[in-house]
Amino acid sequence: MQRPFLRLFVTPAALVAAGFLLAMAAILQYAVLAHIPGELTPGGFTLRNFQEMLKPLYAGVFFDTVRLCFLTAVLALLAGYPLALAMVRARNPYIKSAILIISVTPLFLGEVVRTYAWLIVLGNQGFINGFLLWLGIIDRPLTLMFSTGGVVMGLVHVTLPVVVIMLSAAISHIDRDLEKAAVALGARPLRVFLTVTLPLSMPGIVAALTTGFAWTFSAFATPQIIGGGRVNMVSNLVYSLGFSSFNFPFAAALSIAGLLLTALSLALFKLLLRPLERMGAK
Amino acid sequence: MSGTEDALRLDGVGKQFGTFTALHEAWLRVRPGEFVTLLGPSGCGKTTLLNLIAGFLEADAGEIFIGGKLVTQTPVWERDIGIVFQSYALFPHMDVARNVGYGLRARGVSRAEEAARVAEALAMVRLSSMAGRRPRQLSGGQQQRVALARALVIRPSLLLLDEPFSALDRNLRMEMQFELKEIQQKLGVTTIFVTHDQAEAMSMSDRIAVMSEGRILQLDTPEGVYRRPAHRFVAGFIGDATVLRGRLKGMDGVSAGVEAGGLTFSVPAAPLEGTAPGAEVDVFLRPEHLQPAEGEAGLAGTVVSRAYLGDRAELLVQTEGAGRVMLRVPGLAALERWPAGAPIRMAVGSAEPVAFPAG
Repeated sequence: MQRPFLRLFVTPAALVAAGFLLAMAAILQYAVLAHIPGELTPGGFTLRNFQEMLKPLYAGVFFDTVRLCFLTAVLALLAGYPLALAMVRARNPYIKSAILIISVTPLFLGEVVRTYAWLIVLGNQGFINGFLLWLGIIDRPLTLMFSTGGVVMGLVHVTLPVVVIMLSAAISHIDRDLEKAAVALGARPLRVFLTVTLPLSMPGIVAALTTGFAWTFSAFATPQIIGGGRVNMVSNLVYSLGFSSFNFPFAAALSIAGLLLTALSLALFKLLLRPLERMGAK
Repeated sequence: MSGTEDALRLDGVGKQFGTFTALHEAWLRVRPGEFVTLLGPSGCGKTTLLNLIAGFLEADAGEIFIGGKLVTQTPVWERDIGIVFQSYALFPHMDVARNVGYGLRARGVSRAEEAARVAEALAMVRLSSMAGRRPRQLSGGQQQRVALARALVIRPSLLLLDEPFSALDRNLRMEMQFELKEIQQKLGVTTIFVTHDQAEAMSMSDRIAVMSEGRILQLDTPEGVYRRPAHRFVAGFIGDATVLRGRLKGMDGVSAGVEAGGLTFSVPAAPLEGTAPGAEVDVFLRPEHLQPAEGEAGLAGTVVSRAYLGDRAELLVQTEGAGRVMLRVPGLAALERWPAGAPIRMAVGSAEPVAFPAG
């Protein structure tokens, strides 16, 4: 390995990382300063911001966020696994590409555009309600907008690509001969899936769950627009405190807490999912 | 009805991939307990045929019978076969005992019986002490024995072996071949073995099906395909043959006389049926078909290279006007008399070569 080249290639990334570190340091600094109402510049050192967070109003948001993230990750996994399996196993290259394009597209739509699209689908006069009303299954529109269900649907949509990509990577590493060996030994397709394919995709499932969880934690536009203030996640709280109330110190403290919570949840996740991951260990 | 006496029977089984014919109508009858090898170079259709027998591929034409039962439309999991894959395909997430017991669990065998039969199968392949290990903790040879135990513990009507030795080094390969053959004979399980290695095929098989370009060219005993190849391809593929162009002098019902390179060979008449005396023929010469001659008689040539193999040596000889031939000589004599560049004279050996019309 040519060392000079290595240094050259790593420099841009190192510069970006340094920039992020500085930003983080600034946020950390803000988090321990007092907020003076009506002023943009903060006051002196205090830990009040962190005490404030323990109030049920704020602690509830943290709890809801973790719950929503978990729900989203699990639902994205359930929706993504069949897609990933079909994509990896499809023999026809056109079908393969079609599944890939369909599942990855949400990643390339702007968050706001994608979320407004959901408004059209979920709204009272939207596609789902219109269709169900037309069928006569319901006689008044369901409340899909401004609801947890709607937000989760939007979040699953944007988490799906990540989950599908991670799962398909894991599934494509499973040696097809293992499945052939299982069928030849007399196992029916469902048994093969449950005893060979699924256990061997566990590392991918664990990776997809954790990544899906972390990915959702930072969601902003989806809960902001579809939730319409009724479904709040940590990022929405940071936004409203920072940019509506101009309470920068508290917003900074919330950001830090959110970050720590993500790291903590991921560590916990990893620990809890360890037996699952081991199941697929080679 | 038909097929009851055969462990495996293929009636005109064929397979197309698009416009490419991977397998032309294959006809094959395998007796119970027989060890039959599908031998051929890559792309000859042997793997396609194996996959058709196993049920991983669906035949476009013909019928397949296993143990007298029509299985052409039967899914793989109901075919009652044991397969050992080239990669062994051991389940990495299960220990050895669970790997071996997989087929029994799929058949709903009781736990007690599973444990007993797994123990028996592991004892058969001398791996009883490894029951709790994961496959990755085993050597290549041990992995292969686990794969064999897993395939045999279900007492399949048919054992399929897909190039199982190709990942092993040479010494281990020989050892495993003997072991596999011994187990196969002890259990009397009908076996279909796929390989491109003719030495493997020769040493293990009761019969060999030599395949090329999607066809079974010859189905015969190892001796038969070696000494009486029915096809030019078989003559060239089995053993190290060099081709000498010659002329047919005459023949009776059994053998024919062929003159090539100044030597007169006696060859089987069958492959030359319909060839007129005086026509050009190709004689397929293996090292044992020639022997060194003393004095000024025989075919003259110069040693090009010498492969010393201990007890014997093989010489590649450039003849005067008849191309190159191979010659087997005693090892010591080769060292003393025939280094590269030495002149040599050759006479007809004791074994009879085979000749085909010039192609």
